[in-house]
Parts: sequence; structure tokens; C-alpha cells
Amino acid sequence: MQRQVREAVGPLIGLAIIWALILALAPNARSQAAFENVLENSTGSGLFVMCIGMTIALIGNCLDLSVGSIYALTSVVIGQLMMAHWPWEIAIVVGLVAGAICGLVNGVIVAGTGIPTLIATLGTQMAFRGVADMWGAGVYMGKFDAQFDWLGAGLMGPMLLSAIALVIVWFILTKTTLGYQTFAQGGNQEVARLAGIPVKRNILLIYMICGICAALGSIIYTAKVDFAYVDRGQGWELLAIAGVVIGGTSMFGGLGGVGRTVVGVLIYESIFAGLIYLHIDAFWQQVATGAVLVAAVWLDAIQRRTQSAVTAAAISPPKKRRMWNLIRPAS
Amino acid sequence: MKRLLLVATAIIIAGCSSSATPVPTAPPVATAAPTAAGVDLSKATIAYSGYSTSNAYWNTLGKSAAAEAKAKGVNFVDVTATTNDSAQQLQAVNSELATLKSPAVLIIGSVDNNVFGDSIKTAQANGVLVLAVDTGIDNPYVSALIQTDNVKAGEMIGDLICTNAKNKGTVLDLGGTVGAQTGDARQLGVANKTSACGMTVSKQNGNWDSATDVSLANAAITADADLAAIFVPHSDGAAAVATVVGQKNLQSKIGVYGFDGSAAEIADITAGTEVASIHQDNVGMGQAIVDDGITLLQGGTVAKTVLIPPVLITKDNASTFK
Repeated sequence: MQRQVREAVGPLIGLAIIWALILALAPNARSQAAFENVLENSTGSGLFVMCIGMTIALIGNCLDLSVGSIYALTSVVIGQLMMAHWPWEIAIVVGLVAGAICGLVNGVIVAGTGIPTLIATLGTQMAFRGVADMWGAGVYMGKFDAQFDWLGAGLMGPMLLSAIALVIVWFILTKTTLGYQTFAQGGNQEVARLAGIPVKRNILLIYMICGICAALGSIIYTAKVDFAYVDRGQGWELLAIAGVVIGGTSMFGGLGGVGRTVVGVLIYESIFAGLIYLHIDAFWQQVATGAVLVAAVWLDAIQRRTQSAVTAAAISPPKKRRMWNLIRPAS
Repeated sequence: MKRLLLVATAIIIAGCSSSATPVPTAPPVATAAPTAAGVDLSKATIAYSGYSTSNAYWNTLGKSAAAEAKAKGVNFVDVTATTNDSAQQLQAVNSELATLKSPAVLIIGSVDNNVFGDSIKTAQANGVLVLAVDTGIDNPYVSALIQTDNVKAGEMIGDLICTNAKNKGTVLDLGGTVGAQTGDARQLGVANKTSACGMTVSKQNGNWDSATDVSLANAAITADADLAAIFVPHSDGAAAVATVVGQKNLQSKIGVYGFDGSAAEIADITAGTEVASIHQDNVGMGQAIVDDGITLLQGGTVAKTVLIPPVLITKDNASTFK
């Protein structure tokens, strides 16, 4: 836990600087509502939960570009079921199962065929979107049960569901064998396999968790706006990756945590909201986010180089000794 | 490293690709068909590439075009991509052009109207006519454009906002993707009228993504105490923003205005959480653009630009659009 907090310090400082600038420059942001707005946008859109799932995926070196399509497909699944008068609780369970199945498909393709994750999940991105289109294009699915809407309306429902997802994934990553093995195989899959870690099984589980999180994000947003729609989540895989990487989780696997992702998503949403409070055009948000993303990955690369240097120094003989080896008389 | 470069490049490109596109406001001009008269329609092909297969408005337009072509005995090929991704659409159009030979017509309802320069050159070289529907393409070879008068539609919404807000307060005027002709035109129309009546206009772009629209609306509600209206230029976003404003019990203070008049919007307008939207005659557009293509194939002439008058949907007439 202490390590998680320590690792989140850098991004936290970044978040504090962003808010200091916003508060200094935008008087209209000096209110509780402004902070609540950032939390509502993070959790209510489902992006936060999607990022939580993407965190475990990136740590395990299982890039998932299909989360946006899973988000759309889940919206259609629960929308269609509720329009067919299924109880909303059952619809939610089926939606989460749909997300898990999508993740399983990703995992089977990656683990079973060895196709690179980028290509495999790019393919399933299109396939899942196509399935969603087949079932939901041009169909009105809305005005659901008020109890279902509570899951997404306002701050309480989305915060609660996001917190549950956060705690579960944090527990998996830090307290279970799967979590330890995820870090190990994310760092070096071949070494992990040789060490006896069931890499293929873990890939299936990692993608399933990622898929369930994308599905849960979609459920939250569908409840928030009270209607389902097939055209959602386009380009969200990049938003999810950005949120995770900005927080400091490594793009290269083996490093990271959900604590960092919380900060990363808050940085992303704070930049977004801050530019609105400052009445700056929204497209600058993309430029700013891109810049922060590049900076985050650059810092990650520096951190990795530093760690490598420290490790190399630890396993190498001291310099003086090597010098002595060079100059000592031959025996 | 490749993944990193892909993500970073995509985000930076998305942030930088903001070249504005001129909105076609010129009056319709008749144009002569570049093909010979007397083409056998049974040997002709009309290829159609719409915005996406997942968008209800575009689905209806595509089906209408297909039905009209079938009725007129012309082979119809729909190469619409599943998502509103300009690269995918361009790829689909180029693949179709690789086999499409004269006599043929290519109808484009573009995701990004700036990307078709080379495709249109290929079409011209193959003697394939190019028509645009819903969204203009700034290229002299494009023989005809049929679209809703988006500026006029935006102005109708703008007038209504001024009336309802009594010419006071701020309006959040959302566009689509920066540089997308239809979103820009709608945003411009609203800005024209609301700024002229003395309201403060805050322009933002939601990238045709409802969650982004909701985030922008939430931020504006927090930032601008005098926010009186929110305009969202597409149906999904408008319905989403209307629901969120309704959940905050702000619908009497902040009016939400949309576009396209989908079933979700009609339900919101009827319930009073959305004030108004715009009906586009997508069925008529689908028919008319195919008819234009056939006329040109037969050597006739058509209007270069047809701007279809928009219809304002309010609580008073919402029931007629169900």
C-alpha cells in the first residue's frame, strides 16, 4: 500500500499543480461544484472504470484496443434486454457477462495464436462493433427503470460502482497470486513462463477483467443518460490508455497500479474541465492531454533506465575493484 | 515502442487536425453531366458510402437511397463502414473505386470531407461521377450536393434560444469534430443569431461523442452561472445532455436544443427536458441524391447544390415526428 502511495506521488504533484493553476486563473472554479464536476465526469462517463480495467491489462502487457467497442456492445445488450422488459438487474448481469465473453475472445486469440495484442484487439474492436451494429443500429432503447437510472445519475451511483471496481482490481493486483503474476509476466513474459507462471491462463483472466470493466463503464453511462446507443465509445480505447499512462502505469508492462490510474484520470478530466473554466477551446484539451501523455511516458522511460542502471550497478563488481583488477600485478 | 508511438501520434494528430472547411452557402448552380446520354441503367452502378452503419439517421438515408436505386433498376452497392472513422471510410471508398468503372456514380456522405482529394481524382480518371449527400465536399468535380441547410437550421435554433432566454445569458454552442462541415455550419448558425441578440456565445467541440458533450455541459453549468442554453449538434449528444440537465433539475433555467430529432430526442421534447430539435428529411435526401445520379448518367443536368429546408421540432409538433 505504501509503495502504491509512494509511486503516485509524482502524478499527484502534477495534479496539484494543474489545480493550482486552474484556481489561480479561473475564479469560477473556486467552488465545491467544480471538484464534483470533475468527479462526475470521470465516473459518470464510465471512463474511470474502463481505465481501471486497462490498468491491469497494461501491467500484464495485454494491450486492449477493443474496450470502446465492448462499451458500445454492452450498451446495446442491456438496452435491448430492458426494452424487452427483462428486469434491469438481470440485464446488468448479462451485460457484464457480455463484457467478460468479449475479453475471453481477446484472450483466446492472443494466448492461443500468438497474434500481437495490438493486431488481435484491433480486429476484435471491429468485430464487436459490427455485432453491436447488427443488434442495435437504428433502434431506440431508452426510458429505463428509475432504479436502473440511479446507477448513473448524479455522483453517488457512479462513485459507488467505480469505487467497487477500484477496490476489486486493487485487491487482485496486490493481494492475489494472479496480481503478482500479472506484474511478473508484464515485465518479461518469457521469463515468467520459464518460471512456471501460467501465462496463457493469466492472459485470459486479464482480458476478461478488462472486458468486464469496459462493460461496467458502459452500464454506468447508459444509466446516466437513460438510453442506450450503438455509436458510443469510439476512440475511447485511446482515452483509456491515456488516463492510465498519464497516471504513471507503464506502457511496456510490469509497472503500475490503480492508485496511479485514479490520479491519471483526474489529471485528464481536470485539464478538460480547467480549459472550459478558462473559456479555452476544447480542442486544446486534446493537445494538452497529448503533451501530458508524452511527458508521462518519457518519465516512465527515464525511470526504467534509472532502475536498470541501479540494477546493473548492484550486480557488477565495484568500479575501484575493477580498476584494481586492471592494474594489479599478474600472479 | 510502436504502441506508444501509435497512441501518442493519434492523440496529437486529433488535437492538431483543425483546419476549418468552408461551408457551402452559394446558391444552387446547374451543371452538365460529364457522361454521354443514353446510358443503359441496368449496366450502371451506384456506390454509396455513408457516415457509419451504426447511426440511425444515416441508416435511414442509406436504406432510402438503396430502395430508390432498386426502384429505378440501378445496381446499388453500399460500402458504408461500421464506424464513423474517416480512415475506414476512405479505405472503403478507395477499394470500391478500384473496381468501379463507368457508367457509375459514387455517393459520399463523408465523415471527414477533407480527405477525398485523391479518391476523386481516381473517380474522375475512371469516368465515375461523384455526388455528396448531407455533407459538402469542397472539390469542383463533385457534381451535386444535397443537404439540409445546416446554417439555416442553426439560425432557427438560435432565434428560439434568443426568444426563450429573452436575449440574456450565455449559450454553450457545441460543434462536432473541428473542421467537420455540418457541425461547423450548425454551430455557426446558432452563434450568428445568439450573438446578434446580445447573448454570450461559448463555442466548444464535442467530437460527436455524447460523453464529451455531457462533460462539456457539466463544466459549463459549473463555470457559467448565467448559462441559459446548450446547443448540441447531434441527436445522441442532445438527448444525453437533456437527461443530465433534467437530473439536475435545471431544465427550467437551461434549455437544451438538439439536432436530428431522433426517437430519444422526441421523447425528451415531449417530456419537456429538451426544448427543440431539427428534423432532417433523410428519406428525401436518399431518394433525391440517387435520382440526381441517374439524371446525370442519362446526360441530364441537376442543381449543383440543393439545400433542403430544415423543420423545427418543438413540444407543439413533436407528436407528428414519432
